[in-house]
Parts: sequence; C-alpha cells; structure tokens
Amino acid sequence: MRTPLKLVGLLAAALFLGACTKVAPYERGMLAHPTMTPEEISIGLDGHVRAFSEGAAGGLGGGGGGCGCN
Amino acid sequence: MPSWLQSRFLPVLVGLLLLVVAPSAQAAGEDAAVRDVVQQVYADDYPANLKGAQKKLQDALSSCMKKGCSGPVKAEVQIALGMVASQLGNAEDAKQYFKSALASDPGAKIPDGKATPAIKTQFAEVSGKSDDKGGGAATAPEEGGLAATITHIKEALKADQDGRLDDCIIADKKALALDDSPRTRLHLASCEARSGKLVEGLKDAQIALEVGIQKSDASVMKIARNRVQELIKRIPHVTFEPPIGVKDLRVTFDDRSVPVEALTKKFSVDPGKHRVKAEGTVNGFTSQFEEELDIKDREAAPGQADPIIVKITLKPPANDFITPGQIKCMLTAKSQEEVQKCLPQNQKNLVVRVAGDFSAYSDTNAVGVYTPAINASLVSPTGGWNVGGNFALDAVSAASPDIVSSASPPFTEYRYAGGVTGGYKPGLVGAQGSVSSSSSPDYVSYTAGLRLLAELNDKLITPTLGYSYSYDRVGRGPNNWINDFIPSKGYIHTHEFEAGVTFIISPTAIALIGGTFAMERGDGSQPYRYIPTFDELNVAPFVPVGATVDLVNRTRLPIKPLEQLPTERDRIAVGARFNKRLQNATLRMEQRFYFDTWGMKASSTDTRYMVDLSRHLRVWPHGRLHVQSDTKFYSRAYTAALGGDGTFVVPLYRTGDRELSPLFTLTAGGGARLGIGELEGDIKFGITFVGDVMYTRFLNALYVTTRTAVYGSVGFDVEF
Repeated sequence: MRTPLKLVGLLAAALFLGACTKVAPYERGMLAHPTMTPEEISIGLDGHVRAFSEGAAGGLGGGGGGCGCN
Repeated sequence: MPSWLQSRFLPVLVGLLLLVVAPSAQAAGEDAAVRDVVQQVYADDYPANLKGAQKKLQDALSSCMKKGCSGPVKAEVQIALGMVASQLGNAEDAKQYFKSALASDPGAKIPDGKATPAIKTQFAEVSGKSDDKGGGAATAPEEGGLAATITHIKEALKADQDGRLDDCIIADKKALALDDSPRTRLHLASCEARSGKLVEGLKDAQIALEVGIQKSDASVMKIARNRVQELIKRIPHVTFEPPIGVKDLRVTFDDRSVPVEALTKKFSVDPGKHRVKAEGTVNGFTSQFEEELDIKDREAAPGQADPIIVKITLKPPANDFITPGQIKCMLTAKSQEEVQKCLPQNQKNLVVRVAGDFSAYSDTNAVGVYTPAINASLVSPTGGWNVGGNFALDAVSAASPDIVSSASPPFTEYRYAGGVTGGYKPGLVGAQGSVSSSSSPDYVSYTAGLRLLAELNDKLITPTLGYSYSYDRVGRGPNNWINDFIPSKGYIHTHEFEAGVTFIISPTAIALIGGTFAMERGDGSQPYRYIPTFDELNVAPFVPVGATVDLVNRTRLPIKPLEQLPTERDRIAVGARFNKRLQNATLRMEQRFYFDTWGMKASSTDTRYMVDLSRHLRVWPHGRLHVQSDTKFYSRAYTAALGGDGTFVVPLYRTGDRELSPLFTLTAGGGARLGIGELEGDIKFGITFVGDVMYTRFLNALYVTTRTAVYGSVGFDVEF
C-alpha cells in the first residue's frame, strides 16, 4: 500500500516541479482545446459501467451515489 | 615629408598636441576648488550616497577637463570615482578610473581608511600592471600619460587612412579615456559617421561642440557645428503606430524592448536593416507581427518618409481554431480593426448546450441495459455562472447466474436517474454544487455535493476541494418497491471528501492530481442475494472456480443465509491525469490507486489518444486496465458448521458480489466525433460515437469465470 502512495507522491512532485515553469497567458492557446479539459470526458455508459463492474470507486472527482446495479 | 603629415588630419594632430602639452593658466586656481569638492564628497556622500557622490565627482572631473587641473588633483578625482564605481559593483569602470588616475599621477594612492578589500584588489591589479612595465619610453598603448594618448591618436589616424573605421573608433575611444579632448572626439565622430553609426557620431559631435563652446575654441566649434548639422540631415527616424485595445502589447526593435508608452515617440536610428517584432492578445488569440525595415541615409534616399511609421498589425498564427478563411481574411487585412473582424468573437454572453445520447450494454451474463439520456446546460462566460441538468433511464433486463442460482425469475426493471448542477465563479474563486437522485424498484439514492476551486499563480495552479453526502436505501426486489424495505437495515450514509490540484505544466500539457476519501456507514447487503455454504472439511476446499449452478446446488449445505456485509467502509482513492497536446492529437492518461478498510486494493489505468483528422472529425482509441484484490471477508465457498445447539454457524460477513472478488478487466474500444456545419457558426452541431469491449476475468468466483461485455453510445449535441 505504501508503494502506490510513494509512486503517486513522486509523480505529484515531478509534475509540481514541472509546473514551476512559467507559462504566459498568451502561450495557453493549446490548453483551450476541448480534448485538453482536466475533467472526465467519457460519455454514455462508460462511467456507469465502471461503477458497477469495478469494486473500486473515487479518485479524480467523486460525488456520486450508488445504483444497486450489481 | 611623410604622407600622414600631408593628410588633412595634420591640423587635428597639431591641435591635439598643443592642447595636451600647453600648461593651463587656470590649473592652479581650479586645483583648490576641485580638491574641496573631493573632500566634501568623502565627508558627506561616500559611501552612504554613492549616486550623489558620483555626480559631484563627475562634475568636478569635467571642470578639471575644461578649466584645467594639475595631474595630482585630477588623479584624486579619478581615484574617488574609481572607489564609487567599485562600491556600485562596476569593477571594470573602477579599474579604468584607477588607471586614468595613475596616468595623471603615477604616485596616486587610495585614501587611508576608505578602501574596501575589493577596491584595494582592483587598484593593486592596475598599479601592479603599471609596475610590471617599469618606466622609460614605453610605447605600449595601455600605459597612461601623454605618450599613450599620442600613441592612440596615431593609431586612430592610421586606421582611418587605411579605411579601418572600426579600429579608428576603438583607438579614438582609448585616447578619450586618457584625455577627453574635443578634437579627438570630433575625429571619433567622423569615423563613426563614415562607418554608418550616425547616431553615435552625432552624439560625439554634440559633446565636442559643447566643449568647444565652453573653451571658446573657435576652430573646434566650427568643425563640430558643421558635423552636427550634417549628421542631423542624414539621420533617419522611426516611430510606431500601435494597435488599439491590445493591453499586453510587447514590441522589440532589433531585439531591444521598446516601452509601450514610448512607441509613438520619434527614434533616431542608423541606416541599415532593422527588425521590428510585436506580440499581443487579440480576441483571446496570441497574435504576432514581424517586419524587416531597410532604412536609408536620408541624404541618399530623399524620397524616404521621415519619420518612418511602422504600423503594427497583429495577426494570429494558423492553428486548430483558425479556419483557412479566417487566415486569408487576416492576411489581406490592412488594419488591426480589420484583423479583429476576421477572428471569431469567442466571448458570448450566454452559451446553451443540449445533448442527448442513447447507450446500450450487453454481456455474457445475459444482462442487457438500454439507456436514453439527455442533458442541458446554460453557461455565462462573462457572468461566471452556469446551471445544468441531466436525466437518464436505464431499462435493465437481467437473467444472470446469480438470479438463476437462487431460483429467482429473470426480471426487467427501469431505473430513473437525474440531477441538476449550478456554479458561480466571478473571479479567481468559484463554487459548483450538485444534487442527483437514482431510483429503481429496490434501490434509491440521493446525493448532494459542493466543490470549491481557486485559480492561483496566474491560473497555473487550480486547487479544488469538495464534499458530498449520499443516502442510499436498499429494498427487496425485483418486484417490491421501496416501501417494503426493512428499517433496521438497507441504508447507507456516505460522506465523501475530495481534493485535487490541476497544474499547467507547459503550453501543451496539464496534469491533475487528486484523491477522494469516502466513509460509508450502513448495511448495503443485497436483500435478495443468498449465499451458498458448504461443508468445511469435505466440500468447500474442492469447490472449483467457476463451479456451475448445478454443482453448487448439489453440493451445498441446506442453509443459505442472506448476504451480510460489514456496516462500515472507508474508501481511499488517489489518482493522476495527464493531458498532452501533440501536433494534432491529445494524449490523455490516467492512473488510480485504491484501497479500503474491507481489504480491497485496486489499480486502474486508462488512456485515450484523440486525433483531429480534420477540423470536423476527431477519432480516438481507448484502453483501460483494472486490477483488484478481494475483500478480506470474501470467499468463493463459504463454510458453515453445526453449532452445539443444532443451528448452523455461518460466517459473520459473507457476500456473493463478484465485484468484491479478485478480478482484472481489460477494456478496449474507441470513439469518433463529427462536427457538423460551420464550426465558427452561431449554432454548432456534433455527433459522437463510442464503443468498447470489456473482458473481465474473475479469479475466484462461483458460476462465472469470465464476462465479456459490449457497450456503446451514440450522442448528438448542439451548442448555441
């Protein structure tokens, strides 16, 4: 259990250090592309299927109730 | 007679010699005044007010130059200037002053008690070089004094005769460093002008004219005045016409920044090639301007405008958001206003989006789901608020082995799910709230949540914090409605906390790191799920993975308790998402790690590679791998034993939920989105197709060892 946390911590540190690079507002045009949104972009049943077929839940963005689907 | 004596520079040389050698009748009187200034600077300004000290000493040195001072007094001023320069961090200037001081007076010294170690070192370097060379009639140009000055002048004249104007400039500047003579400066101005450095030449000619006026030197005045007038007529000028309404405009001229407030002023420039670059944001798009100017000497090009007006017209580079039509429009635009009209106006007051989709799911466990759904949102980009709603209907038919094994009839039921969201973000901080509900004959869930976000460090870092509460009620189905649920069990309260941070890593990459912590309290045991039990010694160890319904029914014990799950569960999940924009594609990767107090651990990896085949068509493959362990109370074959009182003793916690068993799932599929019509039109349409195949391997379960599912969606969206 510690190893995954360490990996995520290292990943977070690496990304955070990378974020120290200053990106000026006029350089952020590419980030506005619809596929670059940090939010989940699955449509249809994708999220619902994962919710009832996987025992795990949560992570990036939670806040969903159950459905008793399994 | 040597040819150089016959040159037109003979009068200059003679004048220089006379000027340097002739003793000044005013030197003695000036000495006392200058000495007083130096003492006053040491007393009042040094080292507390270095800038003030520098100004007074420079004025004193100028006075020495104009009115004449003795060498030792001049050296005192130069020593003081060197000390000030050293304290200001200008080591090279300090050494130059010390060198000049030693040239004025070889016995010059640093005043006691006023030198820092750096000053002592710098003076020692200079005086050490002087000592190394010894006395005598040295001709090395680096030595101070009259001889060195004359040597540099001779070098400059020679270089001038040979046409080596850059060498002429260097030699004249060395001579001026030792003795600031207006005639030397005039010669310098001449070399500069002939090498194309008109602006520098004018500056030096003007200085020479000022000195000539102060010294009432008619010859110098006449030559300098003519030189100044000549250069003024030749020097071209440039000014800029900046675009209106560009608040972050940045302009460079030959890679040197031009202050925005000075853009409309007139600048003197040397003839030749120059490059103007500008950048700024126009209608939300980064736009650029670049132009090479070939500016001529005004006398050589009388038709050239003066000043030359550089009209800065910013144009965005071609990218995904600019159509060929817009590029063509901008290239032919003649003014910034025309360019702006070509660009899409991406700041609408209100954006409405409506979408609908139809999804279907089918798997090898004879479960089929058909789901029509609709969602709509209203967003005000300028006002910072948004509202939205969604509704979906699941039509589920199930005849899975779980159903059959308990002799329950296959069923078809409907689940209704809907929710509304709303948010407000007026500036750098915002909030998003949501409520949702899901209702089926044997399960009802209500959820409410709130998320806060902030944009920090110029929006490079966006942290979020959220909380949601869910209340689930579990009834007994499939045909009983929730009125029939048992009050003492069948409910789950869930408190979930989430936190995340989004980082802008580079102009083409972002990353999101986050996690959730959920506390579930309540009994979520399924009221229709019976768990087969087996004899502990003779049967349970031999029940195979994937045992059939028939085998289980033949070998199990008569007792078949209902599922019983623990009533507390804490779930922790941490994840990261990385999006990288490549040339015309986006790579999205996601990793999640999960563990909970029921003992389950899981890892999920998801990736999409979304390629823009054209401005209208985007396609992507999708892959996912999920691996999980079982919960600590899960067992393929639960055992029961007869107790002393003749009743069976069963495990406290028992479940038939295969999603609590060890498994892995591989998902592969893809999707496509087609934009219909004019992408920059007022109304935008799109159709999306997605499809996935999901293969699950249950590593330790009854009835089923694998499950293959196929599901997909067709969606239609419109935005206006």
